[in-house]
Amino acid sequence: MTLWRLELLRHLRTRKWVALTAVYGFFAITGPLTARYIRQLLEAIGGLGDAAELIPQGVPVDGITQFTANVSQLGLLTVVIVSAGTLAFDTRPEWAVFLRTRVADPAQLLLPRYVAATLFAVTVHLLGTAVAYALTRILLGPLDIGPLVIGTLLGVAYLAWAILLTAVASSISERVLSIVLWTLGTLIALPALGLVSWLEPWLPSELLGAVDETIRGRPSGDFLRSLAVAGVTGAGAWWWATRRLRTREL
Amino acid sequence: MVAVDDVDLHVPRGSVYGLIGPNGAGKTTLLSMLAGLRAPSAGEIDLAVERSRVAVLPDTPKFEPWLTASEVVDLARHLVAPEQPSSAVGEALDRAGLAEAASRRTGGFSRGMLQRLGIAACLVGQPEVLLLDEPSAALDPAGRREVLDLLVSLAGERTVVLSTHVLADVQRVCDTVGVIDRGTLRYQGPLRELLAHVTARYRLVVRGNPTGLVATLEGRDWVEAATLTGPGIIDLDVVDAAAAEDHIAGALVEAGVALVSFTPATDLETVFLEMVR
Repeated sequence: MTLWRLELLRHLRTRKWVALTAVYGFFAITGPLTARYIRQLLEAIGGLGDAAELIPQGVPVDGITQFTANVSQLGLLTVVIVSAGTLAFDTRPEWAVFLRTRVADPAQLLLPRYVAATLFAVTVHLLGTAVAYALTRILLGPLDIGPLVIGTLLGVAYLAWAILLTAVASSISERVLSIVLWTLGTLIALPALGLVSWLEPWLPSELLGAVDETIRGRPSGDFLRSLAVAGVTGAGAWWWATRRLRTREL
Repeated sequence: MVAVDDVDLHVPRGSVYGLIGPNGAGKTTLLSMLAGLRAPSAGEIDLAVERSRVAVLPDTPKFEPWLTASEVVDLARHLVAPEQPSSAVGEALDRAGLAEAASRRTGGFSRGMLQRLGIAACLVGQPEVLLLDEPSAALDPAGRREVLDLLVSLAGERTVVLSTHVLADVQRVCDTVGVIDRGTLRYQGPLRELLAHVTARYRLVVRGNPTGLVATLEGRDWVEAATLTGPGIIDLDVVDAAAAEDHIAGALVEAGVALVSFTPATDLETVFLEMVR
């Protein structure tokens, strides 16, 4: 039993994957469906009359846009909650004693937890995107896959960065709720820096909805600055988190 | 406030060392520092063994409830002693009396089973020293007996340091003790020497007229007091335990009473209370 297998079992046996899959799966299906049938839905629930003409007919990019808009909020929230539960390894002191007294460096404990949390989140995100793409293709028509893949990978980079922030929060607090609130607070506050126009292209939060932009033709190079900042701040976050975990007393 | 001050533990190899003290005396803090879980605010901690050879068990061990007992011990083996064969897992569980529960998830374990699982997870790493914090404090009588029996079986094989305020446990399993109070070590050494520091007490149960025996005993210079406490029962406080054990038979013959039992009645609690008062 290695620490890597421990984390695999944690996700499988505690059914953390169910929560992630349910949220991403739901939006992967409802996103393209909503984009395709929004007019019919609104007519069915109340009748739009002449206003129906004002609702544009759905196009392929709308299927992905709907999916991205939803998972950017509730999907990210679920990822943060699930990751916080995984990364908070000092929550139960007795189990923390078991682990901490058996490794030379607490960073040995953090790495498998971070990688497992990220892999599960990324896998579910990719599967969700694949389902949304397939349904979009069936319901709304073909979509250029190149920009979709690039935009999705940029979104994956954001997820990995957001989970790194969760790791930092887990080094600050031992309680899952505090970790979630701290991480969400940071993730929500950072885009506010985008109000300073020259800062906006540098913010990692730009990566979150990148796929929505790339499938509409925006060059992926526009996101390189955000990607670079995410990489540098992510490395710094990792260094800081491991340093704090090494010195934290139980 | 200083929790632990200038403590120097001398723990004989292979002994079961009981660290005793009232609540708040600094026992858990001391063990935490020895385990590397806390850093001293000043000064240094020197261990005579490598820290990697020290296994630690908290007072109420808890494990991931979705792991089986076998997986917990195997994780410990992998982290501490990966060179040990996987069969060591089964051996450790067997030693702790958990062989039949090896494939059960720990979420359904009793406190006693969790405690024994914790000890198995310690043993699988072949540690030189086991640090156990209040190993029987949260257990029911049956669980307590199981854990104490397991600790007794480790004597001579591993060095065990356990903290507790349950003095009966110390008297049962420990051969060496350290008395800590307000962060300082008041005494450490063999348990029997600690007990000999105070007036030894024996309980005599006799058949026949005990009044004559009481009078006889009170005339001996090794007797401090002889008190009739019940029908045929005499509590005997002596100033010299060895003399008492040598001469009690003569006193019985002289008084013409038959002996039913002659047992030491000095307990650790008496000694402990005298030391920390």
